[in-house]
Amino acid sequence: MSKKQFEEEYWTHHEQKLEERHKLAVQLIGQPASILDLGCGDGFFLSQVSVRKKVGLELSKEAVKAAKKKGIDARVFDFEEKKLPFKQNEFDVVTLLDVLEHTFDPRKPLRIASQAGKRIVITVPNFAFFVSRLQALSGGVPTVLGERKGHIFYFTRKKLHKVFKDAGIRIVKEKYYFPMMHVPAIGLISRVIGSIFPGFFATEFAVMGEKQ
Amino acid sequence: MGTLSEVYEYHHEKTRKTEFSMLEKERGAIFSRWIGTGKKVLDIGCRDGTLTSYFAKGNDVLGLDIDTKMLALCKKKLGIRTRVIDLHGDWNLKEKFDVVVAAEVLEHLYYPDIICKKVADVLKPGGIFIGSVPNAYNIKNRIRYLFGIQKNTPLEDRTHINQFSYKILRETFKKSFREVKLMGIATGIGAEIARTFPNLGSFMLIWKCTK
Repeated sequence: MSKKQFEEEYWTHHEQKLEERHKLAVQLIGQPASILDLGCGDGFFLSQVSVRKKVGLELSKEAVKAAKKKGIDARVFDFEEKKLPFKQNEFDVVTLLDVLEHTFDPRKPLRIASQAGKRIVITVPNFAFFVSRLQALSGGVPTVLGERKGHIFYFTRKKLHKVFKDAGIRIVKEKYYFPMMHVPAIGLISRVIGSIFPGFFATEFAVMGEKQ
Repeated sequence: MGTLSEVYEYHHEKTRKTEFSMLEKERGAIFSRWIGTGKKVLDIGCRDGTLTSYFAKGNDVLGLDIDTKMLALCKKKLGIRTRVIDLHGDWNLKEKFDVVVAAEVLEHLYYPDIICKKVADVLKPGGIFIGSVPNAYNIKNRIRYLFGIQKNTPLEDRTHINQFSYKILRETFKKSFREVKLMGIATGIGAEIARTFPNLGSFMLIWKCTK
């Protein structure tokens, strides 16, 4: 199937590095005893967290191979086609990091995740980041729409909230990444302005949710 | 909604009516003029054949689509040869064609440049590739993006994986085709503007590429 081929091709040439979304997710998950990473890619995120039980599911065989090399319990699995092989609430946290924007209907993976775990942590890129808006105005392809990224669903903060509501998941905590927020002095300005208009200044949204 | 064919069956039934095609008459007239008659034509992503009907008469047409139901409807209506296929996979076509048509299809596929190569492979020398995509970067859409609005833009359609501008589309075609002719179309008073400024003024981009 096409999605599989796309991911296979992608992971043959791609290796994950530490990105802001990983840092945001680490802050949100806290210290769980078990974690399930849906769309774990090459297992980079799981390799960064010290949790007793960690499992990753991923579409691409190439990526799972790379994850196993890191010592991660990763399995080839399409959670859009098959039911998860886990008990209800088997995990403390289920993560979907930069996965939802690749799906036709993000509510579905959210519902699936909420069955396997008590809490859900997700990250998605912000389509309405002000630089993306200006890029689009000038006719350039905004970074989030970039060719060969396979993004299908474009999140704004409003859309993200609606998707969670529709999936029956309550948002408990939200975190954002603002450009240069870790730079001294400028970072303070970035954080202040950003927290007033997160939908405009965040490049990435991270959300923790719980079943209603 | 799991598999791609399910996604498309849902898409075709719920969000697009049968016998519906954007700017159908405009595109139909241009395509039938470009194709002429007595040709072997391959229509990729022909759906229920609404647009195919403009050039099915007098041509030997093979229609491909992922949606089984719509394809059956197309066969019944037009009497053309059809095959259910996921265009991402191997096409396995043993014949060569004078014309390949891709009307509102490229934006739905993961690798447009690979699809273009496949199209060039099934074309006879001097054969033509014609089709259309929505112009995701016309001035109206750009302004909507500026305000963070996705409604009424090609982004709203979940099955659109690629967003094309005049420039991106041109670059994609140049890799696989010798000659590229790209035009803009729109309806009503916008038609003239679209012709003059396809980049900013058109609702839809249409092309004719020669192998």
